[in-house]
Amino acid sequence: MIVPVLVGVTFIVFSLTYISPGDPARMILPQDATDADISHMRHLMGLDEPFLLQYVHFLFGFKSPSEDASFSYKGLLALDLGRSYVSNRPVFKTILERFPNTALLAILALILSVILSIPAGIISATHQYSVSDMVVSILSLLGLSMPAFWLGMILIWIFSVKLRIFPSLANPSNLKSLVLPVITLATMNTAVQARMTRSSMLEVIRQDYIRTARAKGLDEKKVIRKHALNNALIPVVTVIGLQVGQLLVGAVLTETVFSYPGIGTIMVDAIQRKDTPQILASVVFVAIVFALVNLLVDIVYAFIDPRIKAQYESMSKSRANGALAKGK
Amino acid sequence: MEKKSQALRARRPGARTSKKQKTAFQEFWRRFKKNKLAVAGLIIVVIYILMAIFADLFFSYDFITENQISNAFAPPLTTAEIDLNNGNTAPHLYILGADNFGRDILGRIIHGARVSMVIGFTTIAFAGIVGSALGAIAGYYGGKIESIIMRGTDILLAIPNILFALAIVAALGPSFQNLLLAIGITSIPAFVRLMRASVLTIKNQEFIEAARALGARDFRIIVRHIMPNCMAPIIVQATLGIAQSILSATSLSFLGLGIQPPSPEWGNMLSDARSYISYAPHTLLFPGLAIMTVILAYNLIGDGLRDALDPKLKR
Repeated sequence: MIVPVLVGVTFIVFSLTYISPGDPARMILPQDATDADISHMRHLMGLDEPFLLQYVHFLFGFKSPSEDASFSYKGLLALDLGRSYVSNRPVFKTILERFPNTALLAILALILSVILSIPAGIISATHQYSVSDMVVSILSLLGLSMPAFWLGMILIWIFSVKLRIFPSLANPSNLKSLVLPVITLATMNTAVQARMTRSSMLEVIRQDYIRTARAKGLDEKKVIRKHALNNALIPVVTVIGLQVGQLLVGAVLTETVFSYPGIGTIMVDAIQRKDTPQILASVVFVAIVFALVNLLVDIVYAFIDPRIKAQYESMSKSRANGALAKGK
Repeated sequence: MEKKSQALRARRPGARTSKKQKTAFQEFWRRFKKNKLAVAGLIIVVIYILMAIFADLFFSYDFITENQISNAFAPPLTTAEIDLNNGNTAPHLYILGADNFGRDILGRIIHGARVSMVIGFTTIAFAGIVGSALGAIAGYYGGKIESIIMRGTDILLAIPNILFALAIVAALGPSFQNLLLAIGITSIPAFVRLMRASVLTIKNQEFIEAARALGARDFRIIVRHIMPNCMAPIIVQATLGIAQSILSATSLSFLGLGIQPPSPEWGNMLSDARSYISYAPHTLLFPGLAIMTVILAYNLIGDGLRDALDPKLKR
């Protein structure tokens, strides 16, 4: 199931790059290049081929007629999309070097946000209208409303410029410098997840089976932990899954604010310089990571909601039965 | 209103729905009004909308895009001479100060409201309608239709918003409409997934079976019986969605990839301010506060809507 998703993603991204104005051949040639030079260069780069053939090249590789090996590439399946027009380095080399930095930032932020948000949401729901509910609600509303890049700059102003506690530039080798970017990146997620946990928990708590559990004299803690939480977490997991995407988008901004050497800064640079191979490679790479995460979310989803698992089982069973009936 | 609904009833003998809808709306409004924070949010949004509509009455567009370099970084509440381009100067009170080109920050925030309000409304209206419909269809029918819709959603989800938005803007040309389209499309998947997840948990309940046993068609079951019971998470999502789409637009502009200066937009104001954090923090503070208040207001309204619309909370 993941394969068609990846084909779709690569096709969309490739098509968008294909129809975008701006000729890569013109980009890498000097200003005074003649039209003949440009069309020759287009031929060497494989840009004069039909659209679908170019897409096939993109997936499976391209052998340039030129002696210069840097125009040839082995294709996406071999993780080789050629070299950057700007730096002339293999694009995936840059990405694979920088991606761990982004992953580090995103994972730290995800952990921080889950640790903070789920307990906060539960407390807020189980003590509805209490002071702690008010505090959680107000903080999560503020966190939700703050643009991450603005929060980052405000944190820099307070903690780097005024108090001089944390550096304003972040670097993966310096853990202290990661504090501000991780807080910046985690804030929005924490707020979204806390709100989702709260509203979902409130809905579950009103269900009949919770009343039943309470009626049979079960300890309130057990009711919440065993009966309410599992059901309340279903939409939360969906949201966390969707949030992973937001984390990467947030990482682009957070990295820009803190000048952090991650994949976000690669993308922004590449887009501003119209460095097509680098744009393509970054987007596709992130898309692959996304697709894998989405797959993981779906699995977790079925795992925590036995009803959905049961439905899939009965669906495949009835499909098998239908096939049998047709065979007869 | 009363006359209109009577007229409607007179025209269509069997149409008791118009009366029912009206009382439902009154009931909803009665409950919404009780939530003071939501009403506050509504007031803030109305103020921003009025600001956006009447921006030219406060500050002319030419004035807020024109450099007054001698007044650069004027702190809030200072009065400075501005050049009127005819050899004369006039005193001007910078209520929220001036930016790095001496432009009035308040004026730029007011004009920036225009961009943000339009983006927030249109993208989420589009994404909410399309996404919920697709999600309901996927969840209700299952099978092949579901696979197609959900794979399409996965494909959309698998491309990071900002980059997808940017790829669209780059491919179709950098226009405001393309920015709307890009942010609108990237907002769809969340609605599809949430709606489908809710429908999956609801569609096998007894009242749906009862409706089917009574001979209701699929369309009626989805629209009248399933969707109303799935609205709470969708409304929460729409709330977050408006916030998200305004954020996306400001984020793109912040990266220098959205609305370009000197056009006033909150994100590109912050982008300029970034270089002067230690020197002129007021250029950083106010555009951010503008974004925050408008998003906060949308969120408060969303919460109020959720509480007022949730059928389970009705007493």
